[in-house]
Amino acid sequence: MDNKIKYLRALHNLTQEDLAQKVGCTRQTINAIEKDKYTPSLLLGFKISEVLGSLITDVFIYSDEKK
Amino acid sequence: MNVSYKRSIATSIIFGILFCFLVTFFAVVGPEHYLDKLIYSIISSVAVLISMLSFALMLLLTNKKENIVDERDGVIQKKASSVGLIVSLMYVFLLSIVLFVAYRNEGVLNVSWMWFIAYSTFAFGYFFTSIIHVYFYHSEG
Repeated sequence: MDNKIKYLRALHNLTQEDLAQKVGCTRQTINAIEKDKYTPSLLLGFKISEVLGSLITDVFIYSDEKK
Repeated sequence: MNVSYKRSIATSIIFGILFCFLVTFFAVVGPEHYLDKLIYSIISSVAVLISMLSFALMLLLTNKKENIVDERDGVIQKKASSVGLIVSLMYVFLLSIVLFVAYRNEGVLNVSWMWFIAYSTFAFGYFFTSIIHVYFYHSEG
């Protein structure tokens, strides 16, 4: 599942550490999500989307949509 | 490097050293002579005690309020524990089979092997699980 977290983070001027603190996880987890090495739970996904001020469907792209 | 990762590295070092010590010590003393002197059992028990105290001290030193153990840490811990359990079971199985084949014709097995299986499985289990933990952290970002 692809995502736009890095792009949206830059828009909001947030570092990975800032975003991690706001959603209650580690910087390493945010890094793993951005690199598509870890798929977050629904709860974490919603928290990230809320902090980035976007809908969850705008932050995370389900692979079928890319086709 | 988060706290879980650091703890895994420290655990693998502590119990890796213990496992190597137990294997080497048992190999040097030999199963036939292990129970001859009480000091051998005491040395081995002290080694295990030191490892456990080191492990407890490590947990204490890394236990800080600002530590975050998030969902990804939980997922990796579960996967590492599952793999570690299966490999530990395989270790006991293989060791037991090797001893069976080696001592089948003699009909008796020195009881000190039981001690070795018990202590080495304990050390190996902790060591391998923490190594797998480190591997999963590396491979999954």
